[in-house]
Amino acid sequence: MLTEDAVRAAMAELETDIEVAEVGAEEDLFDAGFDSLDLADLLLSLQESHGLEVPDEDLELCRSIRAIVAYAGRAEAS
Amino acid sequence: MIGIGEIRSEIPERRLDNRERMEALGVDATLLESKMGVERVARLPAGADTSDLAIAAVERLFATGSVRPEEVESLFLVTQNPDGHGLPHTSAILHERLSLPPSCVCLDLSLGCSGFVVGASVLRGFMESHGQTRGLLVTSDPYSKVLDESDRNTALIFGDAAAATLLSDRPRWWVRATDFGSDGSRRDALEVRKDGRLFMNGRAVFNFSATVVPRSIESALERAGLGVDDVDRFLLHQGSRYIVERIAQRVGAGDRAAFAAGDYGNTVSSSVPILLERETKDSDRVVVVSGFGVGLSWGTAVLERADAD
Repeated sequence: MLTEDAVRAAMAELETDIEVAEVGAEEDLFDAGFDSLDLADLLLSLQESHGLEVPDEDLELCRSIRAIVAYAGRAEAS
Repeated sequence: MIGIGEIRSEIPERRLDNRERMEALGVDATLLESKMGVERVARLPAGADTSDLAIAAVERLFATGSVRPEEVESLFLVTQNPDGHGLPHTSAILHERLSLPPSCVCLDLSLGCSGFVVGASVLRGFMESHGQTRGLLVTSDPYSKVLDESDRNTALIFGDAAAATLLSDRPRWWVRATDFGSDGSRRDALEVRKDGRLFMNGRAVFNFSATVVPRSIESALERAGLGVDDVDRFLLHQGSRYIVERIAQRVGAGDRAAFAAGDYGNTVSSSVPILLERETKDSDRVVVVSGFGVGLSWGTAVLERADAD
């Protein structure tokens, strides 16, 4: 099961300038300093570590830490 | 045995400054500098075509004295943007304009960013099969012919250039091991669409590059009986700064893999030979070259210095 801590850990491994601990769980990742490549990299990391598959058309549903966890939960339940 | 010898490239002087147009394309300085890494992109001079770029590179190679036109037995041109409509093949145009002999075999190879590494092996195998000792591998794929200059995903990345590489029996590099592959199911991530313009799904290309290329490098090194620490330099296709850095991180290449295309851009099949020409040092004994992109396809080779000592 994907947790918010796991998403934050994956964000930290991206080596961006973003202070991951300061990003709110519901904060839009792009407002926090992410760009499209950072998001692609984060989702690839979560795909490899947790099997999370996010098709391009669902990217808008994964714009915050909590939204990613919720998306993973729905995918797991379906 | 045939290996890779002298290389000369042609990067047009004409440039577009990405800083001057990034705002109009919705790209900020951080994304341009730290992710794309391309400050200026090279563009074909007005009125020039694929063959003009290729000929400039080959003439530079001839000027080194390493091979004369009458000695060339094969010329393979890697391009997906040929002169005219592609018939006749652009290498036939090169044959005439470079005054190559009637015995010289000329053909075009349709590959993108993997084209140099794959093409070098195709030409090497052809030459060895037929007892040839002097062949030219030319890469010339000016994407500006199919770019939409208002598309931020491609216009700020791709640059025009060509490279001419001599393959011979007295080379600078032997090919010690290779790894090749294709994933046609993902070919629509990078394609020219019905409107005649290049489309790139950046996320799909990134995912492909970050996962497939490290595995390909590991496979090639394993076949060579070498480890990552044995490699002096990793010459990775210059897709973008971010892609090069991510692959380097995953492979454990550290600062032995560099992004060096900031002044001219991603030159497709010419990016690897440009690196081989400009970014290697005399002390390098083992280098890994890897090209990846259109197809989606990839080619990796472990090269070992042939002219040492």
